[in-house]
Amino acid sequence: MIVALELEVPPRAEYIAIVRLVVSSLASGRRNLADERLDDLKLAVSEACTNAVEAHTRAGTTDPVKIRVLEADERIEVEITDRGGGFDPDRLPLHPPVTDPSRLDFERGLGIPLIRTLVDLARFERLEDGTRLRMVVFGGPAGDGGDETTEILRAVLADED
Amino acid sequence: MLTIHQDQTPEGYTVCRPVGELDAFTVSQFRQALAEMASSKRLLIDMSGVPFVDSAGLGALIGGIRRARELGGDVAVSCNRPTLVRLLRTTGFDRIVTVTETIEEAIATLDQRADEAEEASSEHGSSEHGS
Repeated sequence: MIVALELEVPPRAEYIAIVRLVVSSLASGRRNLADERLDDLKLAVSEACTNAVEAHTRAGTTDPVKIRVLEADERIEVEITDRGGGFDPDRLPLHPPVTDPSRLDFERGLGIPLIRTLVDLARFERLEDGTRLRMVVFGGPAGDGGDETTEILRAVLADED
Repeated sequence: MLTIHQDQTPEGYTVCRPVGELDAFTVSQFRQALAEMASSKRLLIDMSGVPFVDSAGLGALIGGIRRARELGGDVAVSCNRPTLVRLLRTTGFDRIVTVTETIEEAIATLDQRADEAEEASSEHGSSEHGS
């Protein structure tokens, strides 16, 4: 396992695109990573960075968000560390009911399930003053992807019928 | 950067065509544009000019679709980018809104649905649609 990249960006939304571009162009050099997995990783990195930036904004800190990419033959790992005060990923609020005006903001609730669907392994570590998310993608062909997000969307949009 | 094009087709469709990446940075622009178009009777959202969408973008898309439907409009999404089509499928998005590859297909779907709705609601069955 080698550290291939370390990056710090200001906690502002305009830097999210840069992070996903840098990480995905690094990952694109991996022979054994299918294009679809590369897309998955790129999206997961974007979601994770968005969460980190939002956490910093909520916490009122201008400290940088830290990104570290580690590589081994069979895997690529991306660590995103924020100092946004921390949260418990298992205790995320459920999406607001569809009758609630705030439901239009439910994209925030979609990010973490999406990350879990997109990467092979996602682990949230609670730090003293923030959260470290470690995401692992193994080389090899793309899987079918999970069904978790589908379930979530279905629940949120159940009143369409 | 995101640019949003808005067109009216002769058939009375509003076409919303964002061009650029759609993420937390650019999403408010997209959300606002969709809100402004929400009163359209028939709204087509063409995502073919969007190389990247994250959950913020999907959320805005869903919010826009929902609002348009609440106001009595019908909505379809077209997209010819495999990456995005796959994401729409993974998230189950394609089950809540029609997703087609081209704008033409999206128009055809909305036309068909409008005809069906008209037939269903009209006791006379006197549809005047020429197509």
